[in-house]
Amino acid sequence: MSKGNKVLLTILIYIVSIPALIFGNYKFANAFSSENLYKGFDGDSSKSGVIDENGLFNNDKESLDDLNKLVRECSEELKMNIIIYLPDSSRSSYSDDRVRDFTGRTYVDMFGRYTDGLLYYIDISGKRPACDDIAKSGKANLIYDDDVCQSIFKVLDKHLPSSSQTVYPDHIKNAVNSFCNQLKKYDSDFSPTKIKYFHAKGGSEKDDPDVYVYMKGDEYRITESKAIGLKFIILTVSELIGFLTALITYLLVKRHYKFKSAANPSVYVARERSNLTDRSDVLVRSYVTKHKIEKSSGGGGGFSGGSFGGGIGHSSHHR
Amino acid sequence: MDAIEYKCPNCNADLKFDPETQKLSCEFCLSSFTIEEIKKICAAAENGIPNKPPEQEIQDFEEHTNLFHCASCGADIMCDDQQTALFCYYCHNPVILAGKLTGEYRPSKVIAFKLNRDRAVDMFKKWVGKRRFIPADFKSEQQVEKITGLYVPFWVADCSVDAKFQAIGKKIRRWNSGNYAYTETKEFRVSRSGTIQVDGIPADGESKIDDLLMESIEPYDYRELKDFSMSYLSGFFADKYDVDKAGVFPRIRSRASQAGKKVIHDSVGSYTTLNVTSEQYNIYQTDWQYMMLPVWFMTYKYNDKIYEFAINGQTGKLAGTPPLDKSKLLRFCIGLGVAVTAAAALIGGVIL
Repeated sequence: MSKGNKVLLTILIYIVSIPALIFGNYKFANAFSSENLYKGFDGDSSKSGVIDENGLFNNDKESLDDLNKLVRECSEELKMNIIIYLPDSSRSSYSDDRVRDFTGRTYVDMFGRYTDGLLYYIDISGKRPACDDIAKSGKANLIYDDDVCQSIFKVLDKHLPSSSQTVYPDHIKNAVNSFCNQLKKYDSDFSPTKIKYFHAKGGSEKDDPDVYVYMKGDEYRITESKAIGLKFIILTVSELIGFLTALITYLLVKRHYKFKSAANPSVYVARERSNLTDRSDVLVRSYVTKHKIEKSSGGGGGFSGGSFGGGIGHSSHHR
Repeated sequence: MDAIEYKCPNCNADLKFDPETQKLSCEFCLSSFTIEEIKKICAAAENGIPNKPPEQEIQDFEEHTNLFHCASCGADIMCDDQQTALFCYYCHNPVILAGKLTGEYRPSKVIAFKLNRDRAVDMFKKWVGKRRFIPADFKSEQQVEKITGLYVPFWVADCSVDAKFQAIGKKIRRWNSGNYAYTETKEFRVSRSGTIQVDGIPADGESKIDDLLMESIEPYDYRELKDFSMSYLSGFFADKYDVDKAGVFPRIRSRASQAGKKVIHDSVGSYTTLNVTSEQYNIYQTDWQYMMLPVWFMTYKYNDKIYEFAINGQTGKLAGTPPLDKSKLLRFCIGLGVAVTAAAALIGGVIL
């Protein structure tokens, strides 16, 4: 076979083998999958609504009913449980982690694990800074990922006062209205991709494992085994590591089989019969330059925290 | 003129040169003699190695060397008239007797084999043992049998090199003081010239053997150089040169210049940077010697490529290009790649 044909054959092998490998990886990733824990939405939107622990609407039950109606309609339309939680001052001492822990537990207590839904915690407890949180379960983790939630928070910031200011019912009415609209908008915009997944961290209890929320075709899945997309990535990266190891080994061994360099002919120099008649190093010029030393400074830092598991994802925001 | 036979003075059997003892030994009565001893013992006898005038030595050489020719690769193999070369050391095809050699091919000097065949084979096996991806038959006894004791014809040159070197050298020193970094630069005009004597640069006169291979088993210890005698060929083969002095001179010139350059550059002190402005190495005098140097040699044909392997028959220095069984290596690499992939996938938890 000529060299040109060999190159063509190699290119052809790559063209065929790379898609075959990707397809194989996808099939392999699909082959190992544990039980689907996904519960979905039971169709009962009556449990959705606003929990006014704060008593903000104590004197305006009609508005609260309107809000409940609005939230239930939204729940019915989006086929997921929706809770708006308005905490009282007893939760003002909660840390951000405890807020997330509380919202996760509250959602699970109300609707159970691995159901579709979310709980929007509007922090009007008096905590400074206020920590709004959206606890998401089931498909909500995929539709309202953190970027989406941050966009929603940004819109809601227009309706909600900052931590130091007094909250009035109108603020909440406008915020809930806007929140429902945002949920509908992002739900209609959502286009599921097969390798998109969400990893929900488990809690410390045994029956609260890490789970992966993802879609397989049109079906939502929540499994303890890794998401197909993640498995696909791990498998592809593993293959890449294996390929590179094999390639480096091949090249190193091949190099080891090369001819070693020839002897240096300087061993034949008869130094006693060699004579350097001119051996001079003359200083031509000398100069000194100076530069000011530039000083550099460091950067800032961030924070992270954990929460209750239960297949719940969180997006939080300080007001 | 009677045929010169190197006969044992005790039992009259053939004497062969033993590299280990550096003596001519008899396989039958286990006697051994140095060449000087044989010369003395057999001074008056026709079967000795008498001191002869050069003309007579040349005549002996012409009469008592046989030349065998390989029709396959064109190699010319020389051996004394007591031996018969059956196979070409290079391509392993049968050779045919091509006749006698003329006196011009008689070398003036020789370094005898010091390393015997058993040690050469051991060294080869050790060298092969370190390499896992060599074709299986390269390690076989059949292949080991092909290791041939060969006197390779070398042109050895003593050169006087006229060297001229000019450069600008910079010495740079840096330090900090307060908020400032200081750099002091000193520039020097560096000048070197003189004569460098390079003695004993060898260049093989055999076009079939890779030049680099021969350079890789250098150097030879010329203190053990002897006047050539047919007795050294006993039990070994020799090559007839097919590249003359003029043919090897470019290699000699290049290597002499390289040696001269090394001397000059070593004489230049430690500069931070050295910018060479002019550098010339001219060889103005060369003295030649034609000699035979001992090499344990083996070739191996694999995938239409000839792989050569050589051991310096005097010092034991070894060189060669090991053949690589690419399919064996490929299988190993694929296996390794699969194992690493599986391990990485397991660590990554792909099946959990």
